[in-house]
Amino acid sequence: MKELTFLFWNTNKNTNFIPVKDIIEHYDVDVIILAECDFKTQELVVALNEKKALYFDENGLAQCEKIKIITKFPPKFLVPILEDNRYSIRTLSLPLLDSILIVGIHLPDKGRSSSDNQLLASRSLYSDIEKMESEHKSEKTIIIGDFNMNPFENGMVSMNGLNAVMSESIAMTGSRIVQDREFKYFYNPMWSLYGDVGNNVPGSYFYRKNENLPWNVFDQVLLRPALIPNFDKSSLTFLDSIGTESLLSKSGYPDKKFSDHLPLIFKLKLNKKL
Amino acid sequence: MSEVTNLWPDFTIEKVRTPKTVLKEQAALLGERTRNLILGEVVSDKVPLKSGKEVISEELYLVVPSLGNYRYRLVELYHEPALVYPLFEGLYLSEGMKSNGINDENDLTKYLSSVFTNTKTKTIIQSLLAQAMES
Repeated sequence: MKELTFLFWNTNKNTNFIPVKDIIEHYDVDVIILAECDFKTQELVVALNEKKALYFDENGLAQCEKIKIITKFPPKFLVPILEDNRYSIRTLSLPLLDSILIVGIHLPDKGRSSSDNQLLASRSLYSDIEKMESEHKSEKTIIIGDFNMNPFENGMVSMNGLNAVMSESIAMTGSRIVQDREFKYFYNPMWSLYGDVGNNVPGSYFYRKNENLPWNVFDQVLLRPALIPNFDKSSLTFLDSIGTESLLSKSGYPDKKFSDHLPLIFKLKLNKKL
Repeated sequence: MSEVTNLWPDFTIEKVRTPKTVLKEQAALLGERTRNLILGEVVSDKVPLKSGKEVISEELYLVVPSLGNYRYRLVELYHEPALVYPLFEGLYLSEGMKSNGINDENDLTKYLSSVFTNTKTKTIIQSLLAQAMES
């Protein structure tokens, strides 16, 4: 069994990659998924490998413009299989370990999309994931990224969207049947990171103009039930600092000097191949 | 006996080629242009909306058989079940190449041409071709 540390960060087109590099080094991250990445990932990789060559740049096959993935293992182990402009579905097949599907996403924002549009985007994503799960005979799938929706929104919870439930026990039942059709669940652990009770920050994205919901949890990770036992719930957090440097402004909101989103980090174990 | 009056109005009978047909033709032609290194695949689906209404999606994927059947979704269009036109563009795939609505086959042809000749599309296809040749 091997444990991997994942980082997702919407860097809001910040051209300075140093904060990303600092997080990767500080938390010894294995898989780095970036959205709105406006720096060259090659430059980040070169900087990370200054002392020791540990990290690898994107797989050359990747065509998704909105998502960039760099890894602590060669790109041949993380292969894109289905992409569009907004998401990248890849197989992660490390030697001697169980293969899983990793989906990096940046779904359309609320400024340009109605809730129906967001639902359609979720539905397209879900349908592509099901197609790839069937082709690759795997139900070990993890989706990571900026959904531009909160965990309770229709595109997240609806059977016509991502069908992602807040409860592990419900997710572990596998699916729900509606009008003779089976809808397989995703588990969404992010509900627990919404609000300030027991959390370092109430969300990952602050939008002052939305007076009803100024804090949002747009940055999320969803897992198929088969991966829940491998997921380290206690590791799931939004980072509000890199070592001693705060990622928050004096008012306590994400400091736009870094990004308007906070980074999401968690650990996932991969089983040995049987 | 009085003559029976036909109460029905006159109807224009014209053959409308559906978006799916047009996309399938273009999908086949992609293979010709890329010597079958990249193939086109069209997928249709019924998509329910929040309002309870349903729309039909028509999607065109690029498929590269020699690269493990790698797929890239290039076009995503929607129409109402009872009407093949107007079509609504992919909700986010076509950012930067928006058209003003696709109301008939002529509009669809123009739209597809703009997507296919877009620099981004050409870059993706060139990159996939180069990798397919190497594999």
